[in-house]
Amino acid sequence: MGNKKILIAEDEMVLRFLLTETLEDEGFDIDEAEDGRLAIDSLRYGEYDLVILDYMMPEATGVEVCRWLRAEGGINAQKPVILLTAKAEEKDREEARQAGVSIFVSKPFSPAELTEIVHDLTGEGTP
Amino acid sequence: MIGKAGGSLQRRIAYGTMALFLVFGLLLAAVEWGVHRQYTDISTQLDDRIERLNLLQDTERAFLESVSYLRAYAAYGREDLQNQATSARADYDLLFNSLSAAYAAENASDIDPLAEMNGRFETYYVDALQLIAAGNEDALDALAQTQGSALVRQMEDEFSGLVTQQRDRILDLSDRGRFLARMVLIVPGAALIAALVAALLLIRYLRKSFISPVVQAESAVGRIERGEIVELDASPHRNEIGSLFEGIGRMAEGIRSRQAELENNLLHMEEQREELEAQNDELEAQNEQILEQREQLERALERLTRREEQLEAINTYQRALVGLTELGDFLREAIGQLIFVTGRDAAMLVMRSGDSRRTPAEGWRADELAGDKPEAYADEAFRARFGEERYELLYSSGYPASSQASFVGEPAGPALQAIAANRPVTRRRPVSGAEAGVHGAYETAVDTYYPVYDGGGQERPAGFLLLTSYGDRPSADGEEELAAGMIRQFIGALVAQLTQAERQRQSRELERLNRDLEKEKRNLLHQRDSTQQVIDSIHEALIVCSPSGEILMCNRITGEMLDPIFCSGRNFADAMDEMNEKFGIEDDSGERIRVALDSGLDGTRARYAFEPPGRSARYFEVYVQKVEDVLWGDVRLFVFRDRTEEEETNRLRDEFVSVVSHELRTPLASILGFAEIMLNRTVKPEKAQKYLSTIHGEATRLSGLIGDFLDLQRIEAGKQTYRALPLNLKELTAEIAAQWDGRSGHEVRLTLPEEPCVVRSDGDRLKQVLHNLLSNAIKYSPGKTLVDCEIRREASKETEAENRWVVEIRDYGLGIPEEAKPQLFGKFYRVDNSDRRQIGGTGLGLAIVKEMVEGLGGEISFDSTLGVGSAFRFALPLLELPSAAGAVLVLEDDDSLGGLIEEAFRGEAFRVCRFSEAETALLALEAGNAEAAPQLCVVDLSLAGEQSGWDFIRYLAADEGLRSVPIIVSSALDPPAGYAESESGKYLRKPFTVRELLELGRRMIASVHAGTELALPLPSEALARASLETHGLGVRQIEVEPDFAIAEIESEDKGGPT
Repeated sequence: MGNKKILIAEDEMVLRFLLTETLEDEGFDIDEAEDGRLAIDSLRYGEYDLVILDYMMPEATGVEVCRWLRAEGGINAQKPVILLTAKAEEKDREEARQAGVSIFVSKPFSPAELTEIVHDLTGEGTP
Repeated sequence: MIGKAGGSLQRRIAYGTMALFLVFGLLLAAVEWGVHRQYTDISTQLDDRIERLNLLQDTERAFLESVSYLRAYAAYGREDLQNQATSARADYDLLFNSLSAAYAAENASDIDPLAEMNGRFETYYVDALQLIAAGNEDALDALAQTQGSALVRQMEDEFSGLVTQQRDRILDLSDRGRFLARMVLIVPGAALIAALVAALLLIRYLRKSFISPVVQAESAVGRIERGEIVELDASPHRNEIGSLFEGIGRMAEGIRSRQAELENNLLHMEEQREELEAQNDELEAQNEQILEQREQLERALERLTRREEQLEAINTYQRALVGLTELGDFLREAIGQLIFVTGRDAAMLVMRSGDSRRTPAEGWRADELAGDKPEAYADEAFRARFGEERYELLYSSGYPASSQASFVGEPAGPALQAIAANRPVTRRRPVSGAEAGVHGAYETAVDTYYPVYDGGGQERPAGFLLLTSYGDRPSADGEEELAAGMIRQFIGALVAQLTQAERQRQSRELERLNRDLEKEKRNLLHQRDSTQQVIDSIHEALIVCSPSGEILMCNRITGEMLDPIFCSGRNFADAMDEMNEKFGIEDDSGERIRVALDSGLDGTRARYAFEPPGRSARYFEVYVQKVEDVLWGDVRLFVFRDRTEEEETNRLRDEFVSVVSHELRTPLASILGFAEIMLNRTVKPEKAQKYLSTIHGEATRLSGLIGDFLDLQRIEAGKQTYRALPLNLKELTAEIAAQWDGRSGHEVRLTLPEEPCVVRSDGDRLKQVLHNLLSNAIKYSPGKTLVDCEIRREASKETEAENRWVVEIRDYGLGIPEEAKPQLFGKFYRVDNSDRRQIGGTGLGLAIVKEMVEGLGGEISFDSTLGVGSAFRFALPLLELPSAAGAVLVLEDDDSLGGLIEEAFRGEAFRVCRFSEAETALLALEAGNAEAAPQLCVVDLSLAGEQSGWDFIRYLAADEGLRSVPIIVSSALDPPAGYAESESGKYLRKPFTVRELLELGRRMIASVHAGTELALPLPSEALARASLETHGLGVRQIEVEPDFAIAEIESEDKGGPT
């Protein structure tokens, strides 16, 4: 196994591509989901070390997916969750925090910073 | 019986008379008939006889003739005589035979001797003839001697005898006829005589049998009438007369018996009359008695009536004592009635005056009495009398005005006495002069002074009542007591009245005060109403409540914005709780109000959201103010300022910002992310290529997004301006479609109408719309190869006429799901599903398209079936262009000037076609084809559209079909830049007048030129040439006139330099 496994749920193809490119180079295994429902499906059947959720997604928002994960996520229930958000509002963050989001990353983000955060959360040291 | 008898009598007389005259008539007829028969018979015989006589005479004449001829023959022997003799002889024979036949009927014997002689004569005649013929004269003579002559004589005699006989017979018959004629005359006379006799007989009979008995009966009746006793013997008459007689007899008898009866009756009546007279006497006696009784009764009634009147008067008086509230009315009524019921003549009431404003008269002077104001001076008199006490005359009646003053001398005594002694005082005095004048012949007057009291009690009289009667009158029993009682009643009532009057005065005073108060109150209410109105018209809910929370006042808006539950008298916090419960609002607002009230905070501000489930929410800013009110004291004012709209605007803005930020951050994140990766890491070239193209794509997307976003922002802010010009939608669509044709393997198939599709619209915006729609069509039909673009003419919903152009763009791609259709034109809306995720887009395109189409006055719609494809179409009202064929085309943007030119040319019977933009005019020329060229163009150089007059002129000069149309430039020309114009030249630059235009126009239409002829209002060749060349028109030649120049333009090809 070795490689940590990350689920990226993001409806924008370009961002998904950016995230994948950023993290694959760092030696993570990446699974992609295009919307909230697919993200939940992936979480239901696979085990991940980290979940990156976009806030605005069709079918289910990142916060909803996170809430589900914390409640019924099974093996993934306690895994760290990064929420990508374009909204910087305190109110939304509070809601997201309540839902169990570990860290917020607002768009646009720096791939380097994100990599750092991912490493922190997965317990992998920076290579 | 009698009628029948009378009838039979009449009949008998009639029949008898008729029978008698019938017998006479028949007898007369028989006699007449007999006479007539006789007469007829005689006349027949007479005719017969006459005829026979004539025949006899003829025969005689014929005989004599024959004899004559024979003798003549015998004498002369001539043959002709012989013939005549023979014929005469034949005639005679014929006649004789007739005669014989006539006689044969009767008296045949009369003719016998003649017949015998005739036979002989015949023989003789024959012999004689033979002898004559033989000439044997001798024999003849012999014969004649022997026989002939005698025979002839005999025969002549015989004939004469017969004639005579006949004549006698005729005479005889004539006599008989005459007799008969006489008879005819005699018979009618006899008949007349007989008739007279018969009538006489009849009259006699009638007189005897009818008339005399009738006369007899008549005289009998007369006698009976006279009362005589008549006996009629009816026996000789068995007929009606008899019964008449019998009747008369019976009648006479009846009358006799009736008369006897009447006499009896008369006797009886006489007896009765005597009896009646006796009774009458008795009745008269009784009548007298009754009359007497009636008089007694009438007297009693009179007494009673008087008593009743008295009682009535007392009654009225007593009513007057209590019924009237006004003192004046009371005195007038009550004292008037009192005088009447007590039998007094005059009355006066004097009382101490309670009115301090009145001052007693000082130095009252006698001459003032002569004044013409009796009341005034009577008043004065009393003041003088009771001066020190200020007495007042309240009432006076029955005293002469002037005599009131005359009391002054003496009556002060009894009046004062009565007041002082507090009891009535009576004085007898002689009548004063004036009084005597008024009250006639009385000598004395009796005055009685009664003390009267006011409401203050009976201890001290407050004045007196004076009652006066003139003359000495004996008073009836008990009347004095009654009068005294009445007067006591009056005095009592006066006290009551005065007390009441005082009370009334007080009550009036109270009323006045009350009215003042009411008025004050109304003023206050008005003030409050206007305050309330002001408060009600405030658009913020106001609630004033006491520190305990009781609502003292709230305005109308409170009920509308929150709930009508908030009203005066309720507890504010409780009402809030109740409202929350009613709408099912989970809220602590009630509690918050309580806290605010308890803390007594002044100027506290708070937010309040009124969010009833199922209803639109309202947001308020609430602030509490402490108010010190005169009326209410220390109160709290709650103001609810409605900030729902602000809230909504904020919410929308926030939402928009968040959406925009999300939309912008996504491409930004990609760009920055990849750029950073490339900067920080060593990337393989092929990967770098991929990253860079991603960056490029995202940057493009970002740029489009920003562009769209700004467009939309501009539209929404109402800042998008549309420059509407006539344009050919067909050309424009074809141009844009060509740009998209072949992209992503899609063919754009155009279906366009023949004619130009002219609309008035903004070309740039339309291009944007078409770009958006075409790009969508291609984007959302991945893998397909065709997009259809069609323009067609259509009727709008409201009208039947096909008055709009519809551009439809149809793809055969993904289609739009039903649930997405309603939001399709919303901002940032993108149909979300995995198929489309790869398709880039801002979600603003259709929103922009919709805004723009609607901004251009068009309409957008779409239909779509999922998996089959979508069609978006927009409609624009079409612009009808007039045909310029054969007309004068006026290109002028100034409406009034254009109208003027139009009118002028129209006045010359030209058809005029006016445009204010070169674009429109060009489109109209295009639509009209080459052969529909105008006769003349009048062109203003500066126009409403984007193209100028020069553009138009260039187009005309370049077009083969329009090249020959003459043009007049109607506006003044500015010299081209850099042209050195002389000062005088400036003055020459002036536009044509309308009249000049008209003249020039006519002239130019008349002249024929191959190239474009252009008239300029410039009398300078140099300037004209410079102007034309500046605007890209080559000049072939210029002809300068005093006021203008006509240039011939070199022909160019279409699309030449512009």
